[in-house]
Amino acid sequence: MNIRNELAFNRILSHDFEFIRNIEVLLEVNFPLVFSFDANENKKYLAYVVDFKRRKKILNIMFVETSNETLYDLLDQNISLRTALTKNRPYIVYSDGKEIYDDINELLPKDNFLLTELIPNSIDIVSKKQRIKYELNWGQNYYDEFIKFKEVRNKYNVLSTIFFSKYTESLNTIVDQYTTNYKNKHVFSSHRRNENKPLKEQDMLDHVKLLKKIINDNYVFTYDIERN
Amino acid sequence: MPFDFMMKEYDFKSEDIYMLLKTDFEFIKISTVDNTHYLLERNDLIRFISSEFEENEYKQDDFNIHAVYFLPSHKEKELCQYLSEEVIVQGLEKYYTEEMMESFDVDESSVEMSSIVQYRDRHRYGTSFFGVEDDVELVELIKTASDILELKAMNGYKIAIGGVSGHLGLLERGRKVQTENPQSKHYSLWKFCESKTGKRFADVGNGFRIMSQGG
Repeated sequence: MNIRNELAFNRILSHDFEFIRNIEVLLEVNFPLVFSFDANENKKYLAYVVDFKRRKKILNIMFVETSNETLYDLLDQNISLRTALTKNRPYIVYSDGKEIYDDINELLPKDNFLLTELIPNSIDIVSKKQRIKYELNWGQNYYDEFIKFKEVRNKYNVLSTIFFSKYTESLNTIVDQYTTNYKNKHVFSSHRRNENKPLKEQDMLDHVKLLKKIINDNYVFTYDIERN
Repeated sequence: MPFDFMMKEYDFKSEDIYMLLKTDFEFIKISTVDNTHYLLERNDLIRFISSEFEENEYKQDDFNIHAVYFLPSHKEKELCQYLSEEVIVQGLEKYYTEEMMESFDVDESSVEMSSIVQYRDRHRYGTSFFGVEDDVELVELIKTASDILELKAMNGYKIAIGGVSGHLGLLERGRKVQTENPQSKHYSLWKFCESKTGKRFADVGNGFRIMSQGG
């Protein structure tokens, strides 16, 4: 589910935060249960959905200010979701504005609830973890790096953009984030799957050959390429 | 191979690298470049049965789970919205109870022509399931799924266990970065349209049973 396309979620987020960006869903089954995002002046938040009932139009979300270190520990299973949610002082935003819960502790997950890879989750938390590691190591947002290189031209004159990165990325998130930000074009990235390594130059050329059939001006293809 | 079967059996058309899969509600573009993640059948799946629908409206006992619990995400969302407004929306009439059909207003707006869902949006138009790799026991997934049910927002949800068979739709196994740890896998199901297969969402539900309390 794309949170920005959901009226109920958007309403709650916009009520309390400004300049919301980099929304990362970390746990989703039938709907997102846990997500992080940046907002206001470089603050990072962790959000935990407490109630979501479409028919009754109820959405109550717990928010807590967080950090990349905490998010990394959460995804690396070093700390429980409860610990991550109580690192700072959590609070709840209610869809109808009425505070119905007195004791936040009763709403928190059990202390042994870890975000393991075996938990049913449509989100790939390992790739999320890699992205946070990137930010921790390089001191900047993964997408900022992406933007930085987006104007680099490819010498084969087939692709519009090349993206050099030490870490790989699934394309869906980038599409969500940058469809509107880059001249209304859809951005796709590609890498060698499962190995978490950049592409060899020949791999890219082979891929381009395949994609040539559908390439048009509405698409931007980006590649992680192993530099010699 | 699922794509060969779909072309031969159901006459789905393929153009360039895409196959246009017809569901009960729209056409879904599926890339045929990498077919290793696509399946027509899969056992050992679980689904979280939504608490949005009341048990006294829609049955969900043991082997008798109402079709409404297996609708694709976007249609479940649409139905919930119209149910809360007590309006009958065209195209989903068969998912209202008799009482609702008698008392609700009918939405008069015209039905949209079948649209084409782009490949990148496909997962928002499918029914979600979860499974595990062959070397992991399903019981391990059921344990972690039970932990999910304990989260406050999942109050009232249940777990259904079963499988998809009988060539009633296309399944796509989610792609995740491989690690040494046992992983859950997300599956999207796009049920083929009833006019091609004669199969309804109730037939998807027939492959599942509600997990009893305590396993």
